[in-house]
Amino acid sequence: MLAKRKMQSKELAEQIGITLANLSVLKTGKARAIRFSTLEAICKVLDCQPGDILEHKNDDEL
Amino acid sequence: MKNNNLLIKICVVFLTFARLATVIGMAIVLYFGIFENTEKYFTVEMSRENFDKVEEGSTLEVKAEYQDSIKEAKLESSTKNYIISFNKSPRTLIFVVLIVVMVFSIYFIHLLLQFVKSALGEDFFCLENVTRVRMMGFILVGLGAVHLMMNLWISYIAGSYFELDTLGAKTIKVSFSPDIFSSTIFVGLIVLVVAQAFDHGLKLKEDKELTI
Repeated sequence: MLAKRKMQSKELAEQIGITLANLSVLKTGKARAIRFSTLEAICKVLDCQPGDILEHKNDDEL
Repeated sequence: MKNNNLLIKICVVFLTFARLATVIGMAIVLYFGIFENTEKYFTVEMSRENFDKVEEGSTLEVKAEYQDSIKEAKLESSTKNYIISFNKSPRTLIFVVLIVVMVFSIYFIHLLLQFVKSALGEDFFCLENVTRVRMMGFILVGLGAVHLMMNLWISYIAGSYFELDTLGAKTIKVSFSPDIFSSTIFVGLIVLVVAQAFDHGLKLKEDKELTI
């Protein structure tokens, strides 16, 4: 989604108000949970729906 | 916060001295146990409570079959306890138990020191501290079990080695004081529960940190 929008991680992190380290945690799938406010901010900045950035995977696929 | 830090620093100093004192104590015990005649150092005290029919200053009669094990058993009027001196075999057992207890005591103080020290830093809720508290709980339970077994052993000695009819059914007493709450095993179990709570706290902290 970032590539589609031709946006850099640093720029996205600044716009949604989280640190680059936390954005990296989100991108690598290490996050335990995501706040609705963060999700909303990401969707707003990237102009997309939650389904566009979230994907369900079974445990054996991880 | 400043007062808390001062309290922790005092604890760190106290525990450092306690650890050093225990190490020195163990070195002394090892020295006497290995290089010196241990006859007068390794004795077992039995409370006079169990010997209320015996007068102070008297010597206990040892049964003929145990004459080789027991060297001497006399009542110390100052402490009102029986001091029993053992010959080689039981003495070795007492020595080994004493060393094991001291080693684990030093390790316990060391763990407690590391735990208290970590309170000065920022990362108090960490996996190392959970392991430390859990280990401290196991050590306390273990030391309590050793203490209990030694007491049972001493009771066995009192009941079978001497020409006395004081222990066993005749000395069963009904006590309403909750001794279990003051025992090391009970404290150890409480510490294990605290370790479990600490573990849960750590998971909550990780959840909080990994919620973006």
